[in-house]
Amino acid sequence: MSRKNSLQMDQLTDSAYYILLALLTPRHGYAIMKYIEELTDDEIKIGPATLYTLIKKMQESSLILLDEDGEERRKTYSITEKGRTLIADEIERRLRMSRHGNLALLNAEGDTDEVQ
Amino acid sequence: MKSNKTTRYKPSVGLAFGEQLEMNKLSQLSEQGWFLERFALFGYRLRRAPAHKLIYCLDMRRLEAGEREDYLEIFAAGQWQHVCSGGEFHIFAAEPGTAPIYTDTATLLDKYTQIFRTSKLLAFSLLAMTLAAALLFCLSAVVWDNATVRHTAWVALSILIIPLVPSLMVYTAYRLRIRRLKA
Repeated sequence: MSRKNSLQMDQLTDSAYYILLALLTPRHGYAIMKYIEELTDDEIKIGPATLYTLIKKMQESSLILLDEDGEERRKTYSITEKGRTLIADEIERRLRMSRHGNLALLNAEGDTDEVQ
Repeated sequence: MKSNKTTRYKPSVGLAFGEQLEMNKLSQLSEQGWFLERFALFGYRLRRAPAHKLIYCLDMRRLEAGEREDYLEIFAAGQWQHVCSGGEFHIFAAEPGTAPIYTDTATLLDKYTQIFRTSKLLAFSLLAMTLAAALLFCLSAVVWDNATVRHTAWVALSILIIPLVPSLMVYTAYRLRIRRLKA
């Protein structure tokens, strides 16, 4: 049961997916949560413990960076090149999954017509 | 419970066995005007204040130097205020209705992974030492017939048995919790 389990695969959990989407623009912790809520019309909420756990894991996997900016007291996180590549692939993968779903629905409708 | 007391002690059944039960109990106490202040030996120290219902939750995490502020800030952003910490245990309080601190099972599993490993190491180390002392005791009684070794082994056995039982119970509790989460 490795700590980095979910992030060493090429796939992201839903929570990790949304956090990386939020970090396409550098943000601090509070802003990550707020942005995800806005982006998803309050459908997705990420709890602070889940967010913190995933931020740590993504830092370990070099998907995001902590910007130690002296001017802002708050710590800001931003996506790395590796993270950008992964999120682009992930958006594509999830689009394909969505298309598969629609295709399966259409096929099922077709099958029902044939039966009738 | 005298009415003029401002602090009181509440014993704990152990967070490994009744985490949610303890958190619910702390919440009930806040309704009666008793608020968690800090961890105490085998329990909690509570302080009196005007009654106001809060909900409590526990997080377990080993924080590196310099991580604490960022960690607590993210919780505050999620409307969870830090109450106290004891080692790797951190308790937070919030208004009723606040969204939970863990919103997916994968990270909730991570919460227990570290403590589970620690409890496993402790329980099995104690078990190995207890078995070694028991073996030594049997050998010294049956094979060598050495009174000094026998007495030493008996003393070691008596001392080791005391922490062995609770450590095995804690290990079992976390093992069951992880199994339930994975189901």
